[in-house]
Amino acid sequence: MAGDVNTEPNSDENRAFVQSAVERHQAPLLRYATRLLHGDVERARDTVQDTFMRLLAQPRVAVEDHLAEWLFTVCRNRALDYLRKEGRVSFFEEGQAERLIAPEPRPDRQVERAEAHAAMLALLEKLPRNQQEVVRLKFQNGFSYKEISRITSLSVTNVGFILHTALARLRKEMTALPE
Amino acid sequence: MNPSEKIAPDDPRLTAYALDELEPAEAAVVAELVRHCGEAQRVVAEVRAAAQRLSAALEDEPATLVALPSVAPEKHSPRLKRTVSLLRFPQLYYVTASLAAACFAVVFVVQHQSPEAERGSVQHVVAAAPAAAASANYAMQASDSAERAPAARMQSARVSLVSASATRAERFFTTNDVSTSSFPLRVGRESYATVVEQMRQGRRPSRETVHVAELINAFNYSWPEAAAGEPVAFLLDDTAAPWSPTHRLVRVGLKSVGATGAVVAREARVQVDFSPTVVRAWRLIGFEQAGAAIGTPTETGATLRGGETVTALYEIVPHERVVADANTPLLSVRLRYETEGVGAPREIARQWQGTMATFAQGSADLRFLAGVAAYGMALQGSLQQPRLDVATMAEWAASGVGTDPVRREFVELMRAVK
Repeated sequence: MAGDVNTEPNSDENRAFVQSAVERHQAPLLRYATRLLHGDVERARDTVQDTFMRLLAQPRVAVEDHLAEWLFTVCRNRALDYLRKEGRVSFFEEGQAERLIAPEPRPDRQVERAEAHAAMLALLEKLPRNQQEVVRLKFQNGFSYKEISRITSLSVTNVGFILHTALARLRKEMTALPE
Repeated sequence: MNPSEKIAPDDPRLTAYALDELEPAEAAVVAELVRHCGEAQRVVAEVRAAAQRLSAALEDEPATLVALPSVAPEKHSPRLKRTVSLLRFPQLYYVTASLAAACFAVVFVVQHQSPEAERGSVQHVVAAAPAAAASANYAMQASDSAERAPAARMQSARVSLVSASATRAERFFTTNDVSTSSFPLRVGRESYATVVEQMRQGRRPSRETVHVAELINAFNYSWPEAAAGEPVAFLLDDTAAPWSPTHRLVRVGLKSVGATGAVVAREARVQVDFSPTVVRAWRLIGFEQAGAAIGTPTETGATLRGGETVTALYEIVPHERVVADANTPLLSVRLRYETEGVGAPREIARQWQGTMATFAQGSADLRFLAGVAAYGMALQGSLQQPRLDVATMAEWAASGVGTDPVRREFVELMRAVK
């Protein structure tokens, strides 16, 4: 490691690497952590910040080829650790959280699209939490089955089955939605 | 393939197939089952449509949540305002070496306080270590040779950059680890229709609907004649990869000759062998998610029919200084198959020496393919070249449009949609 100056933790280059990781991943991580933590945004901020502090202590070469997956894995472990300490109920229960729609003015032609999206998200909210989490990791964060398996500690087969079950239900319910 | 074999509409493999999550061997099996089953085709189309709508909806999802409000929202507005703003990490932006060292110490202590919570991620880092070590080693070798040979410095820097900073999505396999590849002999075309439909509506195609292998197989290419006595025509050519000019882009195409629809070969399997002395690393474009399994020869053979074609695109990282040896090919392709009435399996093979063609010197087909593949990979996030824009990719594709109106439309849509 000593000769590999550029990838040492805390080198200038590594800090630049962490900075770019913060810029790129903090918003999706905050969203993910907030859900895991039942809407506790303050705790989610701490969790995400802690995740990046851990990244700062990592040699760059150990994480950079699977950076997003590493960040989500660490973030999830930190969040679940907190929930366990707090004695909060099992993580995979029905959601108690409600989305807040940002009150941004929208041009008329976008209203229909926004309504269709909101209806879709409302269907998603009705799924069990474990299905919601896997659906979001797949379609919001773009992870593969294998990556989701490593983030959640579920088997790849299990991830495939959860996603299949969730999509089957959504497909059925989507037919009632406007396009 | 037994034509009576059916796939149930609620088989999870259909969902995985629709989302491009199956390994090539299994994808080929499922593709064949889907081809014979209208119900399965409907499920695949539905899953992709649902994936597309979900991705679009989730992209618009507000980034913050609050617990179900039990009090009037006005009371919460200051908190809400705070939570919507972006996170700030001043210590990362203005960090000094000593502060960073202090942070490191804090993290070190925290890790010791909660070993259980870290177990998963530590295992994970350990599991990823060989790959990381391999790329570090790769980068170091490149810089060593750069010191020995200043003239090669530019090229070395580029090679080490690609290897050491490669994301998971564009990871190459070194021939030290895997020097054999296979690709599905049957590739769907469904993604092309979905992608073009979105582009015609002026929308950038959503990531979930983009399947690079299906895109590049949706266009017509010029094919050579099959050699006498062989049921399949081989097409091999290469050019410089326009996004990394030191890399070679190699097309491996197979066309089944004979009357359209008639079976020309059964239990067909293809295998590509890279020469480790010439090829340092490789990837099969469009199948990056399949991981190392792409190197495993397929278990189940495919049935090839007259008129069918399949095109695979490899990106190859050559060694920096290849010891000239005219007898060592870049790669060889072997097709094993059985024919009706002939008991013993047959094998036909081709070797490809590789050319020194620049991108501009490559065939029109290959230049068009490169532009389409780059666009597909960029949409999927598996081409991590931040300086590339769609206009550039459209130029690459445009240089190989020729007189084909289908290609022309695709390039025009690329330019319009970005």
